[in-house]
Amino acid sequence: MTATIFILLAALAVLGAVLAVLLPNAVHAAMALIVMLVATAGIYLLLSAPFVAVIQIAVYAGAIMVLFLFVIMLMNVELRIPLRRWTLVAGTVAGGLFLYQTVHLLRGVMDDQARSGADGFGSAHEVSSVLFAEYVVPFELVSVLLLVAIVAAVVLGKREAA
Amino acid sequence: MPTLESLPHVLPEVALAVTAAALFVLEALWQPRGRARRVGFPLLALGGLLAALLFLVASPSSAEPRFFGGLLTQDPFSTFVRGVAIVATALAVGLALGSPSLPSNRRVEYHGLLVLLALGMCLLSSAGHLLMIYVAIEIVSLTSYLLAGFDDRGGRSAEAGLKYVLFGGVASGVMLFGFSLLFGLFGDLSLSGLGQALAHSTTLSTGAGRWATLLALVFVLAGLGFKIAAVPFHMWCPDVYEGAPTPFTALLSVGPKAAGFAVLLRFGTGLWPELATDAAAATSALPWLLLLGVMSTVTMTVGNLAAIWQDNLKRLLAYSSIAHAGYMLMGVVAGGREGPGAVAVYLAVYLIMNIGAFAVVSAVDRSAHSEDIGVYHGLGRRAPLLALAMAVFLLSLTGLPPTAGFVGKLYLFASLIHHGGFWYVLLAVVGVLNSVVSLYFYARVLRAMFLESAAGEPAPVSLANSAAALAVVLAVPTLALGIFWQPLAAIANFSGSLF
Repeated sequence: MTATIFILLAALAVLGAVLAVLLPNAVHAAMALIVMLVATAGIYLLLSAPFVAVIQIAVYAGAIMVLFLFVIMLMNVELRIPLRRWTLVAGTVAGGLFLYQTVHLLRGVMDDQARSGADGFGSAHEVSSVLFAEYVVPFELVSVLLLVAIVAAVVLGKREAA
Repeated sequence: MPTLESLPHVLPEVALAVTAAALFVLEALWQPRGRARRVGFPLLALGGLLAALLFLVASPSSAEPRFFGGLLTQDPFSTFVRGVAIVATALAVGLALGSPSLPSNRRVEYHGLLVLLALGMCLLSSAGHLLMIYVAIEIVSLTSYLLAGFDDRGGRSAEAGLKYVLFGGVASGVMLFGFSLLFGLFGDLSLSGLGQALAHSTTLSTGAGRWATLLALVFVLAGLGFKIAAVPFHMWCPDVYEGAPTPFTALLSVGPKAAGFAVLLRFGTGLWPELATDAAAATSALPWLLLLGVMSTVTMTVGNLAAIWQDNLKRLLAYSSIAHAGYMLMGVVAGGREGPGAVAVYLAVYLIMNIGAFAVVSAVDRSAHSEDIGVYHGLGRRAPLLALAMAVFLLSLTGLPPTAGFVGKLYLFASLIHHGGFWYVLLAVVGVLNSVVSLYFYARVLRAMFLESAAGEPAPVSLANSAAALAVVLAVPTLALGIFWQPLAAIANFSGSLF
């Protein structure tokens, strides 16, 4: 059962990734990327990491994809980007190298032993107790950073008062 | 020390954050016009900065220097640098009064952002944890990018802002990569933890581990070198200084640099604790010291040589500030108790003389609308007081007696010579030679002001503005501290220790 679901999700993820590269329309490619990200979130669920799955959907499939779409639409990105042969070749080489490295690394870890964390490792409770107890100061300061970014956007957008 | 008990020690930062928030909220709700806007908001910002300074002076001393579980470290050096950052920000607020380079509809944001910049610099100078260092650096950087591009007359300022963003983004990315390498190699993010790991880890016993550590150190140095504008990470400096509004340039040349030096020193003493007590024994820190020493030599030489060719006063001062970063790096290399003490003395002196010099540039710019050396011709006759103040600042920047700059340089050279050793003395000699070179381009400005007469009928330079007033006021301590240097000696004694 788990294996079937995994194969389905993995196939969906690979399909989404391939389409994201091959589709000529930037908006379509972004949509395909969402499929890939959601499928990956499903795989995280299978691995009993619900927190990571939720974050994956909220941050990647949600926020980052909205940002992508905004940039594509606001910046008037050329919607039809023809796929050149050399980009395909370069991409395949880079992707192949990355795949090789990943497999190599993963096999090293697997041979060691499938390392799983302690009970509750990576759960929302664990993450929040670290985030809001040990690292509460940097967490609050990041909100100062975001405030600066918001003020920056407002200031740069301001026109001279009439 | 746990979170709640740490709070009394960060009251200055709390005061700054509250002030900035108050500025933004008041402007949004009240939308003041006229006098309240022009005077009220700067006064509010100054009030907040003053409150922060008072909290800092009155901050309770504590036997345990690490707060928030080691995220922040409070020691005399960081207390001093926080003071420098707050005072520099207050001076930038003063310089901005009535400055034409700040658009009237963005003034409130200017002050709010300055206060947040002060907050970032305070945090940066006491950060004892890589995560904290990164967040603080980003607060400082983000506000600086925006403030550099604040002037909306013409494209020069926007260009400065954009260049700063691009260089800064790359620099902090590289630094972050260095941090991640350090974390991967030693499994800790706090500087004290990294120091212990370095001392006991087996990572350094393998060749690959040593190279990876060195690479991580170089990457971290790239990010911090960018903040203090050290060669080869200085390329942004002249363009940004030239394009940014002059009141902010004055702050940018002092505040972030001071905070950057604090991080640099704390990073060094955190990873190699021997550096703080007995610099000569810190053999394991040699690659780091070698990097810093080479950086110091190259920085002062390139800064001084490039400054010779500059005709724009802001660019000239930008290269001179690069050179001064090189001088201060000498103190970082010297280490021990004397090194940080010398850096602190130099920072205090540099704060006064460099902001003073930029105040003169700002004052002249308000009448002449130019920073070209041509408009300084005959300034000695047109505005003798201003020209005299500029002369004091330039002599002090050169390091000639009887100015404060001389005392500052003396401390830096002395820290190296007391440390001893061929390479350390050689570095001091390079510093002395560089000071001689710097006399040439500073004297060029002096010559323009006093020996050459202005062509045509130049616009009269008005003294009735905040910049000219600040310049004249700052000239007094520049001279006084050169003659009565007990306060500087007290600074050296006080802030020499880092934990």
